[in-house]
Amino acid sequence: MRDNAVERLFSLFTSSDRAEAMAGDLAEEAEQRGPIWFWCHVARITFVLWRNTAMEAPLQLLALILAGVAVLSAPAFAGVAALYLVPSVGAVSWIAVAVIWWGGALWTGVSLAAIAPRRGTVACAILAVGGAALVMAFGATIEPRELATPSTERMFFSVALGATVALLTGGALARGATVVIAGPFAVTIALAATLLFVMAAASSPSARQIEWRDPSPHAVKLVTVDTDVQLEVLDWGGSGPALVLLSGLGGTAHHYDDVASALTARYRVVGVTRRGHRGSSAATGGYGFARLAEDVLRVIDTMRLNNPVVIGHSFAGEEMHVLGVRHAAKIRGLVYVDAAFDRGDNSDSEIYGAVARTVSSAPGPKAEDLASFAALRMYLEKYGGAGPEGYLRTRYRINADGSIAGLWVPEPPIRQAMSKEIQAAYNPYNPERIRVPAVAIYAVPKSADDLMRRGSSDRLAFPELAARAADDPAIREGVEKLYVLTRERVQKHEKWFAGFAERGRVVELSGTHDLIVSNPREVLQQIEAFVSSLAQQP
Amino acid sequence: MTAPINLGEFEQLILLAILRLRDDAYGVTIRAELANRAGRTVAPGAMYTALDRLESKGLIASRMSDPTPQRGGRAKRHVTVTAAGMKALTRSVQAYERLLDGLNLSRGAHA
Repeated sequence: MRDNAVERLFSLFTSSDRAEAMAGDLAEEAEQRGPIWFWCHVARITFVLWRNTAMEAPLQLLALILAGVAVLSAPAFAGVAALYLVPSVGAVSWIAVAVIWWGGALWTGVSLAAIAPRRGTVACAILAVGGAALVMAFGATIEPRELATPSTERMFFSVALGATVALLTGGALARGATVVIAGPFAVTIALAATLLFVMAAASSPSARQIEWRDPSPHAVKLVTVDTDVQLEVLDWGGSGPALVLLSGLGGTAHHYDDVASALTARYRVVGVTRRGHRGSSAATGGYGFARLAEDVLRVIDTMRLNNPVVIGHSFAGEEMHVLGVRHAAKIRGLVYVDAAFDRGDNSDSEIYGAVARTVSSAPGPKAEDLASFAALRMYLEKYGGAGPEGYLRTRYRINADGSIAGLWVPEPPIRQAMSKEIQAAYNPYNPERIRVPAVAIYAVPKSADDLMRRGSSDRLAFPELAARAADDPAIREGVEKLYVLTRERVQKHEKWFAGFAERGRVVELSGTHDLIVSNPREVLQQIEAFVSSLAQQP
Repeated sequence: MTAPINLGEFEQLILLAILRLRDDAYGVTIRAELANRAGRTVAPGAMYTALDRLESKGLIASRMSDPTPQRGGRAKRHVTVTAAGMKALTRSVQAYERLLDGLNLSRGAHA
């Protein structure tokens, strides 16, 4: 038993006759010298035989080591590819994974047999285990979760692919006769592996998530607008009259990722992310409206935009008010997208609030809605719209596993400075009247049903409520009341705007406060109509 | 003709041991002979390497004996010195003798 094993071990590296004689010699002498002597010399002879083999045929040795690496990496590579190609778990996918995985292993085995050096396939396998151990040691240093990152995946694929190709070419070198077989094998596997890799990269949902790229065709620039303050400026290019796009509080220029692409055919389009917001400098101060407007003006100057029309959503109205008065010479016009409100008048808030509380509003996101961007998007689409993914990615914080951690907010000191300065600027609220041409678009429902289905300045769309209101007269009545108040509220702001902007015009769209996302086409139409009306003016 | 083969000291010792053992030269006996006569303890691995090298140079020939009940029925690899081996050994020994002539080293060593 013992001697048989030793004989077999020796025969991996030398002829079976010699192996038999050596094992016999050791056994014979061991009767006097004991088992320790026996095993010591088994080890020493094995090493000497292995070394002699290596020195006689270094290329064979290289081929053996490469074979070892390939023995594990080829099926593992096939397995990773299989998991990517067949990500869902079901009976068919298990079979597919098994076929691809063990097919890879089988293929490796066949190749090993084909290129095994004269000294034996078993020797090949022994060294293969060494190679396998190396790969496993490498694998053990990687946390399983980290395996999903693109860099380790790429590394794993390249290592596996390289080892497989090297195995075949190494084998071909070691045995010239197999070049004819190994050459096409190597080319085929290299092509197949590349194809698998490309398919896996394209089809894997997690890879897409991690390697997401902003598809919006903009150049991202940083423009210095103040001491130590740089703003993120998205330049979509285009030619024609210049447009500057501003987002609301908490938003970024990516808000316009989709809309802007539709504008570049006729306009020169640039978006600006306000200071303290994601992508721009986290300034410790300068959040007064005058300073914020100054920031926009610096961007206009730096980007050499000639008399642009400034389009702003929500809070951007405050910056536009300043631009329209103090920098009127540099601005052709203003488009307020649900952004022109008399913020000093809260007289209706009590009665509006009392009614609004009786009407259920759209539910907040649940845990499953925050499991991924896809889930979040589905949730948002239900209640008015999600907007460009690039925008969502600046609005939300993402966990390492791709789930949503929550809304992005500035660091506490920045947040405090921002809210303190903005509150101070609102109190008292007394913007100077603007003289430049302007259009104010309001998100206002045209019926109670619109209020439920499409939302308003104050509410998200909530289609489920429409179904409930149809069955329950009490709900219906509440919604009707709220609709009347909503209209009154908007009419009050519209009236204020008419006095505020002497060359102003008002447009109503039925949608949510975020009209850029809920009504992009209508907003685009309004922008085009406004800019062409300017061209006709002197 | 081919260039004469020069033997290393270890190779000479092994060839001499094989000659002394006549028909009974194989791994175990060669090592024992070297230990008893030359006082050299040789590891089995090193000896097999030397035997392989000698055989590949054509200085010794080997044949497997019939299996015997001893040593688990494993055959012995018997080696014999070939004519080429004899010639190389003779050349080496003669070179030694010519160099030793007049030096009386062995007598001095025993004095």
